[in-house]
Amino acid sequence: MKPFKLSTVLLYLFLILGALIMIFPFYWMITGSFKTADGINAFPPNLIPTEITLKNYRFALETAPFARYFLNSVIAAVASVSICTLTTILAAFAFSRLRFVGRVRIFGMLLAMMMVPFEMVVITNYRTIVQMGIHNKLIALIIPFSSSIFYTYILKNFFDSIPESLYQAARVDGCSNWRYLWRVMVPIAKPSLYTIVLLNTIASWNSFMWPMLATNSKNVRTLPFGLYTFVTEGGARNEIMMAASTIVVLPMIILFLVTRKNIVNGVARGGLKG
Amino acid sequence: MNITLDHVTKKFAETIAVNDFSARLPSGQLLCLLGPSGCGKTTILNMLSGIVPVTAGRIFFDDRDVTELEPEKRGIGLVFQNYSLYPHMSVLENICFPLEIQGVKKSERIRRATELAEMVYVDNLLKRRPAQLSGGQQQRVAIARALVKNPQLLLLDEPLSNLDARLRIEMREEIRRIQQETRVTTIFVTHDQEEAMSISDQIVLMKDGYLQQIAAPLEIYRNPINEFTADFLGNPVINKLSGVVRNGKIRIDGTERELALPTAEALADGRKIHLSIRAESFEPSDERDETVLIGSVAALSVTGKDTLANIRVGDFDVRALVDSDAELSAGETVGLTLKSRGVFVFDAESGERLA
Repeated sequence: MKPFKLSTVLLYLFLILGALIMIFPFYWMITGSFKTADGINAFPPNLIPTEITLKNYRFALETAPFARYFLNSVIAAVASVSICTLTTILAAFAFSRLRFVGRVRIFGMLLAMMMVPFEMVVITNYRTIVQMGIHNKLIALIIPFSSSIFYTYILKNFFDSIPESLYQAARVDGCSNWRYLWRVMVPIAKPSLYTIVLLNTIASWNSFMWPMLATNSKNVRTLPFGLYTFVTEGGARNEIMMAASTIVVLPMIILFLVTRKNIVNGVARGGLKG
Repeated sequence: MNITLDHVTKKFAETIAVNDFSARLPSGQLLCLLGPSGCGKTTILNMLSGIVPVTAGRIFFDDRDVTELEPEKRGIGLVFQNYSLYPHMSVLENICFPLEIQGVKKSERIRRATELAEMVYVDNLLKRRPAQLSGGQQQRVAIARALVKNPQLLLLDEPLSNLDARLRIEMREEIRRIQQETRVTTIFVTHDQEEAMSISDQIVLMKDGYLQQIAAPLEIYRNPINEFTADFLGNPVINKLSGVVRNGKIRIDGTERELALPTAEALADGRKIHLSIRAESFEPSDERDETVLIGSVAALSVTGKDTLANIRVGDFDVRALVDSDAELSAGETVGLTLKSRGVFVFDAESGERLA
């Protein structure tokens, strides 16, 4: 066997350390959610739970309507992500391929709007949804996120990298813009789209500030805000907080694990020949 | 399909890519649009396909005015320099795509696509993706895709420039074969004169947006209309000697004697000219009279039957392709008579053909 080089060993030690630092909070949360009150507060801490219980989950689900929060989160995420992806695709195509008056200027203005932080327009957005009469309704969590300049920008850049001659080839064959978009551009841009959908889903799932302002009843709360109220209302019991947090985070971890391969594949296969 | 370009002009912002171009291109032939980079040949192709609108002039396919017609209504097939295959589709799907857009039934699409794939020899690759094909195979697929909807006109934009030298020769013969099998009028853009000479029925030679000459390869080689045409075609490049007309004879710069050239007798005294001579138009001679060019042999390279001799004549290095039987040696003074074919006189300023 070839002896390892010292630098390689050090590098791997460093990487392992980094991975441990990343993974440990998740590990602590998930194992903690199965521990008893004594188990989680024990000192020195037990890395491996001595006694496993599902009581925490039962308690969390009984005291707060986590199932309802979960459903709300899913509805808000699926709706806002699908609408946003659609508008992003259409806008990116328009800015990338169609020639219309003011195209560059309009896109520049949109980019300039990205400089304004979300927090600054929160009050305006709040007043808008109140005026629209959708305050404290689920749709208030969807409409403000139905388009995104940032994702449009990312996708437009990808669309720009697709050779113009593909568009011309399709045009000579009589392919309409609409058909070209869905039959050629979107399939080629799949890796980018996976990334956009994933980022957008995580952002929607984790959003806290806007749901806190836009909703005030249990029926329309989403998970992160629900978790927050659960903690403030139910008092800080670590093992139950861990169980509730696991309910909140687990879907995103699963989503990432499922789509991870597509993203990596996409990046590896992204190149176009010629 | 006959193609007529009637005073076609294309301006891009400030530059004029194609200038007052008029030509009638005959049906069923393989035509080469030839010229140096930036001469407007690809622009002509794009105007024929309809991707680029004309600034002025009209384009006719047979008697049909297609100047304003959308690309998809022109009935053309187009092959791009980079092939432009759809990277996410298999070879079969790529060839089927134009038919899919036309709404052809799936079984019919597959039947026609397979037929075309067989013709261009890619029928064993139907399930592959473009990235899994070699350059030559991609080229074949691109041609099949362009031909699948039975176009009246096939346009190829520098189709061979992305291939290595051997494949290039193979593929140009393939294009010739496919064109002859289908008899579809084909226009082929290239900047490689050898490519144009070897496969085309007619060469359309362009320079700086202007049409120079349309003729069959041998005709354009033997009878160039101007100096540019003579320079552009032929390998080795034609020899160019500048000189002045003296009493119906030519005094080549750097020489002390006049050369009598029957075709130059009528030229005005003192006119500055370029005498252009193809490498194969020299014949070594023992004569030393006025019809003979005199030079000294600088170097020789034997290629087999022929020898390429570098000969110093006046201020010029002349490359002459002579029979290897003529025993020349470096340093020797040699007389060269000129054959009647391949010797041209052009105006030194305008490049206009004088003789």
